[in-house]
Amino acid sequence: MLAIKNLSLKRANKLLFSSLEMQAEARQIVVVLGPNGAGKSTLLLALFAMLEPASGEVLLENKDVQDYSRHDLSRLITWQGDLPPTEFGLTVEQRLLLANDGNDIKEALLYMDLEQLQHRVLGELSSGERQRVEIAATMVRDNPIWLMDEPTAHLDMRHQVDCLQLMKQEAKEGRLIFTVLHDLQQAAAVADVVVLLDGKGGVEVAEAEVMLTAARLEPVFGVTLKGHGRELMPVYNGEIE
Amino acid sequence: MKRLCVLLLLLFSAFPASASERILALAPHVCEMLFAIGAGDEVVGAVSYCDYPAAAKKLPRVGTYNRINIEAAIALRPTVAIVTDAATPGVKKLSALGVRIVRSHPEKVEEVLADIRRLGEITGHKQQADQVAFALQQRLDVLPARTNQKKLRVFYEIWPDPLLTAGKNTFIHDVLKHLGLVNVFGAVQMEAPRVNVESVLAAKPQLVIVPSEKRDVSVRSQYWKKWLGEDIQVITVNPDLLHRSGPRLLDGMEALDVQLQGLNFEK
Amino acid sequence: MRNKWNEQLFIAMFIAAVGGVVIVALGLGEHWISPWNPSNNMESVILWDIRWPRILTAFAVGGLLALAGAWFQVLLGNPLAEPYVLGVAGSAAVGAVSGMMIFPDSVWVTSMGAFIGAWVGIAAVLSFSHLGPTRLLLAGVVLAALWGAVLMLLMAMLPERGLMLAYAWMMGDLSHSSLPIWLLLLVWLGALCCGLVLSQSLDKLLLGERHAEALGVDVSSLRKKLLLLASAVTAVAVTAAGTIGFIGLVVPHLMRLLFGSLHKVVLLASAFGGGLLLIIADTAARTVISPAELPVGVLTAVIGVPVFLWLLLRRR
Repeated sequence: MLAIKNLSLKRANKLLFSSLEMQAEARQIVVVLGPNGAGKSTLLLALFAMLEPASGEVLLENKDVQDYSRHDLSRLITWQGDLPPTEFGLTVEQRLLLANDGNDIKEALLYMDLEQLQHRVLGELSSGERQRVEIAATMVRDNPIWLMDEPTAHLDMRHQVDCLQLMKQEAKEGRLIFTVLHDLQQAAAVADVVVLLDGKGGVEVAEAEVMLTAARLEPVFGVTLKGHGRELMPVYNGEIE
Repeated sequence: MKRLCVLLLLLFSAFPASASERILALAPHVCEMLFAIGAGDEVVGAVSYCDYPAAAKKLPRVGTYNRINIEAAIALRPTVAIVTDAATPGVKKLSALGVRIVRSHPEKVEEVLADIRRLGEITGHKQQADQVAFALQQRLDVLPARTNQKKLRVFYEIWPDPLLTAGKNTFIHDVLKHLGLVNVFGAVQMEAPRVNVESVLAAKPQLVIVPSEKRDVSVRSQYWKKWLGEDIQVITVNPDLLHRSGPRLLDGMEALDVQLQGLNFEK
Repeated sequence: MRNKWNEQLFIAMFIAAVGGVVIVALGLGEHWISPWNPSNNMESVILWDIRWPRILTAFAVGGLLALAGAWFQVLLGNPLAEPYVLGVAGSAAVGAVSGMMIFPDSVWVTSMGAFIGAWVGIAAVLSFSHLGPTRLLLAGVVLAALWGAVLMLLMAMLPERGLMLAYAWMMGDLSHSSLPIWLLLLVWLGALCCGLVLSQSLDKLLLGERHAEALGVDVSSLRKKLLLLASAVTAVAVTAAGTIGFIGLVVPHLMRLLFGSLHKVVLLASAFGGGLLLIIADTAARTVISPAELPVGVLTAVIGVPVFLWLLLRRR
């Protein structure tokens, strides 16, 4: 579905990473990991042609994403990013209707617990509620590829669980999901493939079981990790250096 | 003895009575007044629009109606400055530098004559000034007051766009009154109220006076005929004569009077 | 809460209100004239040859200014933007006053000057259109300051009468439009239609540029179109009636408060609401100190400022 060939990305003349090469298929969840500033969000933007790569290309069904029209691309890829501004007083319902392309929004409202809030203005909601709206907006568009940039941010525990379950479910039903996550356990819960940006220009791609180990992650994040698989987590009560 | 003579000489030359006032005429009507009373030689500086008589045009300009160039003014070493408005920027400074400030801003026809006399006293041309004022008064007295006729209702178009006219307590209003005319907007408490066609229509004037300044009078005449009907009389006047509160005012008033007498009105 | 029926009823009532105000405005003036029963020929003339064209002009100009305001607000991502914020009114004023200086007797030259000036201002702003909303706003504010300085320079050089004329022009005058009324109404209709066509994309732009792109909007093309449309509409309004403020700022806000933020409704409501507000302001301008009249720009400020402050405080 999505092929990334020799991709190098720059941000303000600084090279973020180079020569990323990977193939992503339907029913996969690709988790992008890395420290702050490594280029995770930038990678997502490049995947739907929001910026031009320094070199290399991203192919969607064998066609460069840069060659798609905005309109066509928006029917294939959905992007969930930062919270939209609220100055203009849109309601939850209105915001979802902008994204839904004619699909019914009831199910998404229900799943993300937004029924009571649907006529409220976005500006009056908490950031967690607004985040749920953004995820609902991703759901209603029904595109085959989802790009999600920290979807669990702002969410309380229950909704974080709901979100991760949603992603697993949707992948099972045939979607390809690229997501940036910070929490290792969340990553372990959903990832099939992991893209690791080390923040120093390097990038690695591997299966989740291979990548989510202390050996691979400790050098990148600079923390001590313990456990493995679903139980991989940082050591919190160690000495602070 | 010698010292006494020198002292006496100095004393006499200190009185400006017979000689060298150096006068700044800071308004067009002031210029005209000064030349009319024979003080033209003492005028050293003027402002824009001081264009009558011809000699006035040659005077150095030290400012405009709303601003005075202090440097240029002081360079002429004036002793007295005659202004319309003491609040004009520059006047205070002149006063602080020792120039005597005299105000002349006639708002009625009588005040024009009074100012002529007053300027005569100040500049030492009293006799000539009184003669000029007297002559003007005689001409004023001769103008028909038209008290035994139904007064003509007049709309005075000061400016076409925006449409401006003269309100209460203005110079124009007083001029019209002296000619026995009724200013249809004479009750409005503003100096130059902006009106619209509808109010003019509702005021039912019989005569429209259009100064010939900066507009095509024939166009205005057509305009008013369109709105007020073919019967409306439109006459034009020379604003330099009628709007300036100076000695030529009577020329303007007499000319207007002649036009009024030439109109066909059933009274 | 508010369902489709309610909303349509509201809009219908709103348009009916506009009709009502027009009728009352026709009747008001130096003295009341019944619009369906004028007592004599002169009253008929006053009604249809003087008041009616003025009301139509106010309606069209008010609607255009409100539409431009709504568009500038979404273009700059700032609900406090309005048609003059990018300097288009300032450059138009410079053009008009320049015209006054060169040909002081000609109204036509003044209008041409205003129109040309407006487009010079538009071109200047367009050259910055590739900047994001914040930087575009800054560029516009600086340009507006430039035009303001040039204007002051010109006015310092004007003779006394000219100064008064310049102020009068800048305060707005609906008593005779420099452009034919049919043209104004046509532009009003055309602008509204263009706006309605773009409304879905405009709604998406409210989510921010990235989200709009992700939803399929060609943002840079839309911004250029919007800038051109909004500026052209402002240029026409300013040429016809001088610089009348506050309508473009206040009306779209009011409409959003009443009808929600979706552009289909906001633009429709603003096109009518702007006209409504300006008719009210102009009717007040020509009646409160009758027989004299106030410049309409004063009334839009007197009405607009309290409303705007109220909106500002309310949003907190």
